[in-house]
Amino acid sequence: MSLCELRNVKKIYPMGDLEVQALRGVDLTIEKGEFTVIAGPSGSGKSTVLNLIGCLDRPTSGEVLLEDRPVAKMGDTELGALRAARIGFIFQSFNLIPVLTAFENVELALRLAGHHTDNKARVEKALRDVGLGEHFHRRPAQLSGGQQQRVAIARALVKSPALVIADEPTANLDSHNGKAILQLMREMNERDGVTFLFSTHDAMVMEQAKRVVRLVDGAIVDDTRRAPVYAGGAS
Amino acid sequence: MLLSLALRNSLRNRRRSLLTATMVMLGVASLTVAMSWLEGLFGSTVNMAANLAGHVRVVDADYARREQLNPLHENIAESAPLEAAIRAVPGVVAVYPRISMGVTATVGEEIGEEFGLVQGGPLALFEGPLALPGHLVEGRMLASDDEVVIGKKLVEKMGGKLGDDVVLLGQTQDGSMSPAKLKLVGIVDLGNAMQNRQIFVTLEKVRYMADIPDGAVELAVYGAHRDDGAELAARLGALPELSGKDVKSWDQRPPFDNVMGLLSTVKAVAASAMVFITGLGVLNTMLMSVLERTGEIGVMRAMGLRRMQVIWLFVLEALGISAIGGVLGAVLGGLGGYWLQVHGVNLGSVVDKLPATIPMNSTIYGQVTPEILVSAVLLGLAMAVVGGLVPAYRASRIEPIEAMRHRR
Ligand SMILES: Nc1ncnc2c1ncn2[C@@H]1O[C@H](COP(=O)(O)OP(=O)(O)O)[C@@H](O)[C@H]1O
Ligand SMILES: [Mg+2]
Repeated sequence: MSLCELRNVKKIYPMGDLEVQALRGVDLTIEKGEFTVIAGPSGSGKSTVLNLIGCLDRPTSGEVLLEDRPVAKMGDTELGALRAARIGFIFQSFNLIPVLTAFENVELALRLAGHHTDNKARVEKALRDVGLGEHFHRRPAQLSGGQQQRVAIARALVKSPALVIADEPTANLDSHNGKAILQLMREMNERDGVTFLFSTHDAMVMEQAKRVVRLVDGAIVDDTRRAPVYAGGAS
Repeated sequence: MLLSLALRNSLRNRRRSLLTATMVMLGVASLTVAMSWLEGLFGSTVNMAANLAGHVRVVDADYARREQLNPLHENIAESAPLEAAIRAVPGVVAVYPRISMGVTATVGEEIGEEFGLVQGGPLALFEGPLALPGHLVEGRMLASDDEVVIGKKLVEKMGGKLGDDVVLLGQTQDGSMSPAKLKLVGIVDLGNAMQNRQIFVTLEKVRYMADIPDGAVELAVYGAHRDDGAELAARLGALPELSGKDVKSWDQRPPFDNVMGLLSTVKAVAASAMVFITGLGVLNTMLMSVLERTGEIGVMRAMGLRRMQVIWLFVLEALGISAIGGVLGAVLGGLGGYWLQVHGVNLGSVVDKLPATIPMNSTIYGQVTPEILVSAVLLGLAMAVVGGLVPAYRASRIEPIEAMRHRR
């Protein structure tokens, strides 16, 4: 069973009288345990692919399957519940809830996923796993960008999702912090088998990937699996 | 979780929340003052009117039909048996036979030219429901059938003083001239000018003047509270002894049948206008918050927050802010109403032109009641719901994909 699959997916955005063809027939299968990067220039359709796989949006045509279930057949409520339980999101601009502390941001994700027991221990573990042993009770504004993105990773991972989707997670970080964040995600992938799917146009990120899918003008031009340059414990 | 999130959201843009709370506060405060004012304006007036008229009035049906003409001959010739029957009805506290008649009044021997309204009834009526002793400005209450207590306006017009002989000229029930000479023993101030043209005499005296020796024109019935009037009237109307009589509570008769309806309409309109206006203000500021938080709402939606929960999030926030504004507004408005209660506002000549059936004071005092304060706070919350629902609905329409699109 593949984790998720796009079958001949097209996505057209209406733009006034014009139409933007964001995806022109994409076939893509993501397997469990992968660490995949969608690479490509800006406007090539990376975010659109992630939105479709993350069930945040529906394709204009073609099929999206999540754990072999066609997404098209699910209603918004069912899709919401599925998203909450099975998919973790990491955003380019972190998008933490500003009025909640680091701890609460992570806990919110857990609660929305329907977990109500043992939350404290799980949240603390998730935060420690991303290297935020302290600062539990700081609000996002009191944390650096790198720390915020760590909280975001903890928030995505705390519910043990089947898939973590990260749209340009390092784009708003300096190269040092970006490397560290990526390192962290690689470790989680290696150690716990968490499946990651990124988009990026950062060469450093691509180096870390086990699989690179190249997108140009809404079409896949290259799909390479390889042994990544594993940068060890540099952080 | 939603509650704590809503609470914190309400604190994040303090200036805006303060603005929202202030709008609600001002709305609630002005409503409280307005309602205290209305309560003072009508509450005491209505109370006096109900006491003056009797909670329930029993008259002959023909009298009721031509009431304006005060047809004394359409009277209740034998009042005692009816009084007894009425007194036996549960809920009846007191029943008094009464006769009122128009007269001219003079001091000394001059020809009468001052108009006055004779009110005749048992002393218990004057001292109980009409509370005349409390309104005495000079002299004392009636002690015999040959004495009279008169409103101060009429005394002024007649140029009379305590101890003077007052000559009243009226008509008996069949239209004969009916003079009476009485000693002025008391002067009362009952509020407005028409009220102060009343002349109070004993039941025996008025029966003699009207030539209705054993009867009355009306029976004034009192229950425990004026608001029970209609219910009491229904019970009395069922008595076989009262068949052919007109039995109505004070608020079923003019002018209060109209006034009371008008009063609640005025209150309702004022309250809804205030709720609407303030609600619009709340709507405006809440809408700004929704637009500002599009990204994070999208994030929470992506993480599984349901539409209904988004609605709650914003409604709770609006409710929280408005509750604070509402309580402060009730306090502020309560103080304003209390000021009116202590100092009052003199309406003077406007009130003096009102008829005697509307016993309104020239100086209007506010009246703050717990009901007013509670309903003002509740209306403040209604403002929050009115103003919060639209933005909350807007927020609930934000799609999870906004989480990805949004760049801060
Ligand atoms: N909501 C939208 N409305 C209209 N056009 C859009 C929208 N989202 C993306 N596009 C267009 O679709 C194309 C692909 O966008 P996107 O998937 O965001 O690319 P990338 O993430 O690789 O930069 C671009 O041309 C972009 O302008
Ligand atoms: Mg993008």
